[in-house]
Amino acid sequence: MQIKINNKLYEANPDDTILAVCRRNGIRLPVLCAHPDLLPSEGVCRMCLVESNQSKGLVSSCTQKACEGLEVQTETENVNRARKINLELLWADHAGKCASCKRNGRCELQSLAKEYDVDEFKFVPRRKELESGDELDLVKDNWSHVAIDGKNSSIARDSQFCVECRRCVKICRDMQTVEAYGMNYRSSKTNIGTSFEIPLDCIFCGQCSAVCPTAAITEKDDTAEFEKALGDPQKMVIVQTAPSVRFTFGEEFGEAPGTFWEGKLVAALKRLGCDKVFDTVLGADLTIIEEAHELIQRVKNKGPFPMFTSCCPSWILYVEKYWPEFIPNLSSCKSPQQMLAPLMKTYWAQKEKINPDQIISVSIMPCTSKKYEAQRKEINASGYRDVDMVLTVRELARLLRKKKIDPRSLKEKKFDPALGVSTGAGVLFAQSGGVMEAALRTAVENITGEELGKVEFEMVRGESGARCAEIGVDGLKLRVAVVHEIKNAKNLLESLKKGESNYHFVEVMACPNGCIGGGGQPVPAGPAVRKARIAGVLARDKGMPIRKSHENPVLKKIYKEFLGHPGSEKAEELLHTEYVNRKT
Amino acid sequence: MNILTKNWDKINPLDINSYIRTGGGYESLRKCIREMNPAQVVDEIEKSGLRGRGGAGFPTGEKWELAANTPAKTKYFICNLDESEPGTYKDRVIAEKNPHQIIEGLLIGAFAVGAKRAFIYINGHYRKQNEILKVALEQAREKEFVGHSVMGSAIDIEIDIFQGAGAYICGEETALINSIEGKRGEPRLKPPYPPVKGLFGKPTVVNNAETLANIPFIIKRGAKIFSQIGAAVSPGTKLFVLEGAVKNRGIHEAPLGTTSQELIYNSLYGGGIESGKEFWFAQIGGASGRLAPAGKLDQPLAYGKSEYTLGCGSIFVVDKSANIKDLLFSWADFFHRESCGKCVPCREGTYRLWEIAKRLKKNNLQKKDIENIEDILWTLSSTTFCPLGNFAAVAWNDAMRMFGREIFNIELGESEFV
Amino acid sequence: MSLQKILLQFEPKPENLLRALKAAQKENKYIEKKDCQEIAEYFSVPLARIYSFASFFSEIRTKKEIKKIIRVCSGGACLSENSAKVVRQIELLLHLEIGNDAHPKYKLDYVSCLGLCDRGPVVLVDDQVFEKVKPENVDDIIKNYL
Repeated sequence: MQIKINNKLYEANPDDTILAVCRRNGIRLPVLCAHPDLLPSEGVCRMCLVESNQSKGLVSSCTQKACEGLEVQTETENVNRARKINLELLWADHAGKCASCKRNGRCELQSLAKEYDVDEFKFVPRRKELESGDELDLVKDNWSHVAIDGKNSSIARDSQFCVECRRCVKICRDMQTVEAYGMNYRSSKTNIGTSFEIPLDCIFCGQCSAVCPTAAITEKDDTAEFEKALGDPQKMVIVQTAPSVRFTFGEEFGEAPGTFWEGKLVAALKRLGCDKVFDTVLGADLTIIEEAHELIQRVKNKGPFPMFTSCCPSWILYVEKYWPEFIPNLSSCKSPQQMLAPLMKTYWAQKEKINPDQIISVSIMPCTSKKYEAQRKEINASGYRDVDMVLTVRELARLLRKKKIDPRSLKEKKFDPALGVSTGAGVLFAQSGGVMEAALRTAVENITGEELGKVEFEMVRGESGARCAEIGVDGLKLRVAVVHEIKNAKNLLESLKKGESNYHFVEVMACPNGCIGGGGQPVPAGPAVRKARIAGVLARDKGMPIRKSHENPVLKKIYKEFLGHPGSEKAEELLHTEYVNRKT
Repeated sequence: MNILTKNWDKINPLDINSYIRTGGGYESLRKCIREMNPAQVVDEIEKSGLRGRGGAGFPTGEKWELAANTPAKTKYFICNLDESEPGTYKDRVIAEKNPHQIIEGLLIGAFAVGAKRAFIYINGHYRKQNEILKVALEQAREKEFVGHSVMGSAIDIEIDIFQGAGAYICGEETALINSIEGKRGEPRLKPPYPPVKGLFGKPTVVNNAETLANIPFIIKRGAKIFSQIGAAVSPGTKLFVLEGAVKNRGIHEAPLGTTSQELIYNSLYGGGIESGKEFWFAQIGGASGRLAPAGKLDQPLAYGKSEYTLGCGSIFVVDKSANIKDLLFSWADFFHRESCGKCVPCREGTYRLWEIAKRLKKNNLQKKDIENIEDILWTLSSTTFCPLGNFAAVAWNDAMRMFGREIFNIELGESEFV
Repeated sequence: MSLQKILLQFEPKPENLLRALKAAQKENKYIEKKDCQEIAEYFSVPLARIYSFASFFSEIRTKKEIKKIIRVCSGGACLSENSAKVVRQIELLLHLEIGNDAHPKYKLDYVSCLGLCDRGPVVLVDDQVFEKVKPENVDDIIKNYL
């Protein structure tokens, strides 16, 4: 059908909301609660109101569906008045500490305030405007229900900044099924938080921090610690960067999603003062070699099946907290970050004759969950803390901006080769299906003993939440599955428990489309942004000279000189871990 | 003519037999089950022109027809006795004096739309009335009016009482439905409307208790007779609640179309203003009602398009000795507390209005406050998710227009209050 | 009665959640975290959802209240019967201000209309309802019921 928006005709389907049609056609509409990952919208924030010929008053464009004969006006006097007063009311309830706020310059509320000229605390009397008693009353009422949570390693919350858009509640409940948050209380005391204000105790995937429009929920900030390490002349700062980070880092500096910015990333880290910059993709290749070996062992021993990937710490936590009966199915392999880190403090430190005491190992990651993983008691193997600190992409970008380092003006640099050579298979870890594809490239060649003709395994690629495939390998029908988002993982676990499905190997990622949709990635994101990021990843894999993990020359050397062979005692000690039943 | 209160002084609410004997209680139910089919019952209610007595005045027959025509194996019927509008207690009194009127109406309604399960959603504070209803339901069950095989027929209708827990917004039908589903009492988007998709996603009719109390009369005496009482566009009688500075405070049953002038001054009803007091204005429809000055009392009070909507039928007479600032605070305080908190304009707007009202009460108002009142009232009237926001602005809007100058003692300039 | 026994009176269906909460509250005047956890398990619903639901309603308490709470109806009908004078009398006698949480032992606040407009002013002391309260009754109520 056709509908009229601002006196022009546009195509619309019966299920389209006015907002969807506007978005498709580049018509600007302000929103605070609508989000492409959280459909259908509920019309909670009232920012997207428009005038329509189908109703007397203003209607919310995120809920109103298109219909024959609909005529919409998006910039009338009433619409603009509604937006302005709405923002002024929100601004009055907001902490207003922009200068020191983590989201300064990248905050949705701030951008809207700028767009609609909201600059004063119109609804809050200024200091000295009231008698002292009343003034105290006012402050007390405003902040009587503030929830501040800095008790966990990954996610920081401060409800002084909250606009009650409910995105976090929805994503945690609908996408991740964890439901750690709820809307609590009523009236002006309405607050989004945990029950009884207990410290957050979830799977730390950080999706809430990725959808929050303000600084109410953010990644825990470790930049101060990082700066301190960089400034310590006694310490060597050794950094590793995750596969997906090089495809999203550019967005923080104006590049299109999916732009391959590896050279700029390394250059920026070097400019900050990092002594060495290594590539987590090498760790990913290492993970594949160990994990493929483990899979083949399980095939020989007929179980336990399915084997689940273990590189996503949120997925691990999810199993430990809600489905501990599946712990034996998890691969014992650590994640790439946690495989590379102990090698830094043992193999590499020994080779370079550096005292591991001096090394501060930092990783730049797409997720908040890695901060949790780094401090797991069971994870350390080098004799020290393997990963000393984890910074998300957002934190790194924030630090660079603070230090006025613009990667765009830097000359591209390469990873330090000692632990910086990687393969296309490892790069694929960045997106959902990548671990599976990388593992298949190695496992199939190992099992058949023959070189792969075509290295691509398209059947495990894709954007859908749950995919499966059957791959014939030397008479064995290898049944594999790939899921992302915990709700799909939950469905899979439930069907496994009922005996409805049967797989050998399953890749699980907690975040939408895998790490490129991680909780610590640049925001705002959404299905379109993630699609572009995936395209970047696949293009890079295609363009790399080596595309199978077991062909990584540095890894071959490390096994020869240090680890021995996959699954060796040394490998078990450094590269494998155990899990804990954390069900309450 | 008295339809609802007719036999109240003769009926013992704790004895179902007194209801049966006096005026033929449960005969309408018998007529429906034995002589009519559901479609005929719906038709009768439609022809009667009965409209909802909770405040919105929606044609009851239309609601029933919509639910009856929506195909579903499970349907629900809910009696809304949440009654939290300040200034009204008519539903409470019906439950106290003649609970079976409500129960019979509920049963007929459930039969008409095809619902096997019904709820009476009662205000959590109405504990005594809850007990009375429990006894009444038990007795109705013993007589096989409620439960499996009603009056020996193939119809099953189960009634459960559901107590509220202190939330005015739960009087709104979708919020009410949400609270029964174990969710926060926040209103839902409409459409879909409850008769199409309501409780647990099934067709649900939510009717006010007073609306249901009219049903037995309509079935017994017929739609035609009912449609001739009161006003043509909204027939029947209404339980008006008179409070404030009138001589005879309390419940008065009068035909719809009666003017507030009559209700306040006629000796049949209010009997005039309390001696020693002077009429200032009347708030019609509870705390969300408009303020009618002396010149506007001649408008007939009925549902349908009118300048002063009747709402729940509460008429609060305010005399000149009242402190308008206290009243303004009372209204702002109520809506601030009862805002569900879902949408920004209501959650923040009622809060800011409440702060302003607090300062107003202490005579500590700032010039900025006066400018802000206009913006807050506009946004509450135009941008909220549900009507509670609109309700919060009604009385203040009228007060600003009528007494703004006095209240603020300064020139208001070009401000236009809606 | 233990919480488990109270819960067993209800089938774990959504329409029984509010009933279960109210019944659980009867025992201890409030529902604490471990009670909510038990209720969450019984109804197979995450704890966050129970707390979100429970904290919405005025009459469900999730925190232990150490102070005695006095609430006066703020409605217009009660106002016309001089509820403002009753409030002032309470403020004077107890040395506190309505809406202000500063007093260590008592809290005075407004409450929304209870539907007793024909018997106002209405005062609640904790959960006990007093009707037709005049300023001169306040002294008596405070002495005997606080």
